[in-house]
Amino acid sequence: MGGDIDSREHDQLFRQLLEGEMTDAEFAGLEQQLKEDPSLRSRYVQFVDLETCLQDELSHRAETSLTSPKVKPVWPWYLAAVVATAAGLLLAVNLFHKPEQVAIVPLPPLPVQQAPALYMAAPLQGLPVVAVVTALDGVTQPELRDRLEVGTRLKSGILKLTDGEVQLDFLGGARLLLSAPAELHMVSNSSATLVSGAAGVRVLHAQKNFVLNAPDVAVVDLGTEFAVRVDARQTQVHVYAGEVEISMLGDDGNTLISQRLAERGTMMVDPQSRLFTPLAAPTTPLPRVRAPVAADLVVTREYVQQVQQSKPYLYWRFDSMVDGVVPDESGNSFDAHVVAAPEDAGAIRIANGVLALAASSGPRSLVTVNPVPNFNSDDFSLELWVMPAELSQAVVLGVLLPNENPIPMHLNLIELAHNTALVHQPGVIRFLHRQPARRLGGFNLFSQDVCTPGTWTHVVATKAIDELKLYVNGQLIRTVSGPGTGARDDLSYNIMLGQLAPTNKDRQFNGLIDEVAVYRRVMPVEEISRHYWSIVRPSMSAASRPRNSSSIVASSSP
Amino acid sequence: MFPGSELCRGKLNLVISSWIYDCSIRDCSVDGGLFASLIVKNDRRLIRYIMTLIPRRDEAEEILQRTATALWENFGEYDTARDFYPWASRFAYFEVLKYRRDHARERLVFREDILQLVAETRDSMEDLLEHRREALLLCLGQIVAADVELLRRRYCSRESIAVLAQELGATAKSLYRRLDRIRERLADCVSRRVAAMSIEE
Repeated sequence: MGGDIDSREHDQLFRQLLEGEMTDAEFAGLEQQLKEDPSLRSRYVQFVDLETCLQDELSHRAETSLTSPKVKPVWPWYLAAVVATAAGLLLAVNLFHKPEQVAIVPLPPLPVQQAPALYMAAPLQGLPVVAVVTALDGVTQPELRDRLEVGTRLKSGILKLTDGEVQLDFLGGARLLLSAPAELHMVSNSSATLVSGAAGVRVLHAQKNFVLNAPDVAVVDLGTEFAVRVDARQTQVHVYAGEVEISMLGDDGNTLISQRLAERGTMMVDPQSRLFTPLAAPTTPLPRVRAPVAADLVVTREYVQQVQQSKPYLYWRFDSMVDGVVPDESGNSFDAHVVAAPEDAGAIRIANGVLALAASSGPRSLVTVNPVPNFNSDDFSLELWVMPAELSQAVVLGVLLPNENPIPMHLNLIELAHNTALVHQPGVIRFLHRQPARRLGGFNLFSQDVCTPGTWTHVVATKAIDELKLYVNGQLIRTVSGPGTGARDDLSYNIMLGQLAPTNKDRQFNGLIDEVAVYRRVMPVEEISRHYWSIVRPSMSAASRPRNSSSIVASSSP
Repeated sequence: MFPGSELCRGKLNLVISSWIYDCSIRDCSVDGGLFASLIVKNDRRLIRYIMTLIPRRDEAEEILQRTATALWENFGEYDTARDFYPWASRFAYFEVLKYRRDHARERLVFREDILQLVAETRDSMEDLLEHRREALLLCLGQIVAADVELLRRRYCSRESIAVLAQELGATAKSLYRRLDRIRERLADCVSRRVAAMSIEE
């Protein structure tokens, strides 16, 4: 039966089936022919397969141009140059290919509204957060829901960008900058798949290697910074620093061939031809991750007046440091000094009126010159502003017994809690009260929102005899009450900034700290809120306010 | 244009997500990366397999999602020493049969015996079909950009033939003819190239 009509008619029949434009009688006839004619089955399979291939292949191709000269839309003035370029391009194409029809003159596409960025988390309860947005630039946002902001926490899922750039801090310790157009599948806190587009990766402090997969290629960091671009057929890898292991994957998803790529090396990986081709340089610019914008804190005169009216017992403003000493501006002379070996002293400094701490090879901290007597003999409040440069477990402020024992005995900790052995959200603020001061135990209060790299966060912790409270950005986040929660003693304590212990560099904080104050009473929520808003409100109303309203723009202290 | 297919590759994301859903109740750290890699590498080949049996894009993508879920649920049984695609395509076939049982009364759904014959035919042609796919990529590079764009608009956009024809100042009938001619040129090119490949081998 299959031979009754020629092959082109069969193709027409197959197309009718694909387009759903076949009658029931025609379909029954086709089924019968397919049953009886093996060659027709073969032709049918080839036809449908080619159509599917064609559709998939075309979907990868960016829209170019297709308009008849008979249609004359109104062109924006800036498209004139594009028109000329496109016409020249068409001419060149036609010269080489001599098409049968050259009636269509391509013109540039009309400008279309850019599709917004799309983030789609896997809709399942209990999935962990794998990354946090730490920078956004030029991204078209959805109008209502699922907007990306600095600080947005992302679970395993898909991120599609049509324009701009998004920087993510993966909770496993890698920072990734995704450059549009691109599609990234976030698999875990230490792995992702770049389906298309380009991404730069810098490994900050990973506990295990970060793996960036492409459809046919895997790039495993070996303590490094690198970038990857995935095109339809090839993957390009460039190493800025360190080295990576590039795997070309076989059909089973395992490494078929691998290649080590060293610093400043560029490699083109072509899975189809199974070729690694070294390049002198990337063929197109590749993205590179950026440090979060270190916005200074706008400390208003009103804020300083508010704090002074609150009568702090200790007040470090970091406006100056003379011979390594930061003065206490409460009038109680609890000055602080830098404790660091000469080679590490540069990792702790005053910059633009804030305390700036960087990673160092040895311990470095800012510690009270003399212990504070009777620190815990009554209620107290701790207040400070903090801006981490990265997500890692890091102590911002510690209150500890003044001894030379390398094991610190803490009464209090305010730290960035991240990847700890405790149960909490990643990258949050932790307040610990532990009386008597020792290595373990105590009551923990965690915030819920991420303390985002590049963003200033206001933290206040209060301790009463039977109640502990944690405030973040002027809001009460957590209260723990009950007998003994705020137990007292009459010992003297040191207050230390920047790491866990005086004699080693455990939990070093990397970032900025400002306006540290201690009060010998419990601050009420109204007072805390006033302090917070006396800095944030003027910043939000400033003409040069940042895109992210929670960030605070630069200004000098009064 | 395939009925109902508003965007090409529209549901690949959901396929991956269907695997990601499960990661909170199963340790994905061991084999999750491998599974993701295999799915990303083979999903287009699987959709081609499914399309030959259920030749409607949306339904095929739906079956692909179900297949991905089944594959993940059974991934522990996958022998990594063997090719992934043959193992995965068996799951796709069973998902097609399940789909057929649920939609047997709908129009243009093949009988089970026809599905079996078509699947067997396809299995015997996998190498040839891969050659044809490779040839298609080369052939697409040989036709003029405007024709490729016309095909792309036809396959991947929501525009009807009437809208496209109006934009081009042509009639729908002439546009159909032009699309047919482009497809025929592509099909001829693919056949010639595959024949040439056979000679070289």
